[in-house]
Amino acid sequence: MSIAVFLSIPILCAFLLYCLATRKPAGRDLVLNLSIALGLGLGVSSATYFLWSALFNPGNRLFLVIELCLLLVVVAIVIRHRKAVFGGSRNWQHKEKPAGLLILLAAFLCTAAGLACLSAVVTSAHGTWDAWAIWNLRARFIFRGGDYWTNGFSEMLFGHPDYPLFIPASVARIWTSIGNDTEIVPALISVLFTGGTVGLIYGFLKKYRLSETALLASSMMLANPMFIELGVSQCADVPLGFFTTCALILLLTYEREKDSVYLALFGLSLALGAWVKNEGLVISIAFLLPYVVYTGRMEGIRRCAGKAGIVLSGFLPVFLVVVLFKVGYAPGSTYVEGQEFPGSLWKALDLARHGSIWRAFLDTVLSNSLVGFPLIVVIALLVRFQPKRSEIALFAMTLSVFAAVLVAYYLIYLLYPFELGPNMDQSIHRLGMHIWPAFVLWFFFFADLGRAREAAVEHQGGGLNGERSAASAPS
Amino acid sequence: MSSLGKVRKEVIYAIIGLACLYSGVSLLLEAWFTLTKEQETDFVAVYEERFLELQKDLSPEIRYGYISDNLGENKSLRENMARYYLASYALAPSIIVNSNRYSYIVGDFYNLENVERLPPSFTILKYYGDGVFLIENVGI
Repeated sequence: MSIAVFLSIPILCAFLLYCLATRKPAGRDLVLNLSIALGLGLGVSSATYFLWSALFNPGNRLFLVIELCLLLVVVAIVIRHRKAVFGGSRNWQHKEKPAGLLILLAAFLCTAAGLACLSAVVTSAHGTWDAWAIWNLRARFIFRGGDYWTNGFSEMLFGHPDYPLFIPASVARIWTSIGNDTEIVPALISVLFTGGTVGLIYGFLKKYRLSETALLASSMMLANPMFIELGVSQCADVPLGFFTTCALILLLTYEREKDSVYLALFGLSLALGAWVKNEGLVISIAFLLPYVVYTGRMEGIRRCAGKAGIVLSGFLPVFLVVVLFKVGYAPGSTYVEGQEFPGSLWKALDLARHGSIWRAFLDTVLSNSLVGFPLIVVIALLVRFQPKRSEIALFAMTLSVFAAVLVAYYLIYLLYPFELGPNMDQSIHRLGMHIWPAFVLWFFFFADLGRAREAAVEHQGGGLNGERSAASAPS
Repeated sequence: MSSLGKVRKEVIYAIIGLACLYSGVSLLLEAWFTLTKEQETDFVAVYEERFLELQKDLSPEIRYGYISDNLGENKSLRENMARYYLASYALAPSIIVNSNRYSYIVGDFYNLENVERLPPSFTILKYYGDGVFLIENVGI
């Protein structure tokens, strides 16, 4: 019970602030807004808990009082603006009903995924190897360490003590709040992010596409055994995939609604990704570079600079926490320190190394799961991709983000300073999960499976500034 | 929407639906069998239990070394390596270093006969049962 309360405080704060900032009724697109609030709330609370630990001590529970005060302030502001958050007409409630069979399928898959989560938690309560050897280990150091909480970042420890602290700080925050280090907390956080990722995809596609499209895409995630297995592993890969998806959603929403709040939150999501894993920084760069080029070409340098400022206003606060951790606490990265010249150059020129990375990549893509990439390829052959003229550049820009991440991951493997084979075999499927949920969302967003929902919302005064076309479906 | 479009859409829905259904049934059955079969004890929990008493005696101010023996011929290098990580996990917030060049060392033995082969500079301070020792290395 107390775990649920302490988990809910930052999520509730984020949810109410999000509704206030975007000036949308709380009940509208509830699944999407709650999913976004889940990530932003837990992410920001994790970063602030680390700052609190750095300033005082992780065991100092005064932060709970501050969190509660913050919640009360937010509630007071919401009450003051209750008409905006709770009022308004209910015209936005759409009438479109998805096929009953699809609802049944989604309900069945929710049950199957729920049971799979339960069985993982029952059989390995402490998570998989990486969970207890890296993430939960660090959380224990923070919670149990007292004045020695930074022991967990000692370079004498194996298990990547330089990895960012989103998961460890989130877990330690709850442990400190309840006063014991039960393994339920990391398990619950991992299940929340697994569900939250599905919620993001479902909520966003339901908002801008058909409910049926939303159900199909979220079914593809729920039925993917790799996603569920990694999701409940208590590792950081699915949370990073969550923030990648969240960043894509906020960017696409900004491009439609042109409200700069979404752009700032897009920056925040990227920074939270970098707070989850080192690869999050790679993903941030892969998003920001194409977006700068896209905005520069579409709107000119001045507008581009203005937008960059807004993105940075969301990005920098959490990114500075990442920098503080990296500079002030974490030991050097073994990956960076392991690079040598000209050894790394020879690796880049080694054709056999290129071949083994390609083989591993293709093996992962093809053997991932029936509902993974092979299914997307089959659907891509049947569906039409017909982005509107106004959307073509956005389509290309967002596609280039995935390409940039793949190229960056390829280079990371190419220059890997230790024995490549075993490490690549153990990690390549996990790296794929950093972008897979976002790719599924992107695919179903741009695939022409119908847009009746969007048209209905606009017709009923939903407030979208985007396209106003009638329903279109493959024809 | 043209009839061709409708047919195509239904085909897409059917393909995704059937693939998800197949995958979902596999997921459900696997979870069901895992939940209904007799549960093996979680090996991480076993380590937690083994190191519980030792953990109380360690101080986060001191760095401890770690030594262990081989689990046996049928065990992989990964399984042997896991023991060090599990000891670190169980004994946090003390820093456990995978080395015998420390004044105090955590001994984690599968076969107790191997304890007799320790160098003379190693003195056993306390035996916690189940192969877990706190050892002093007077040679440092």
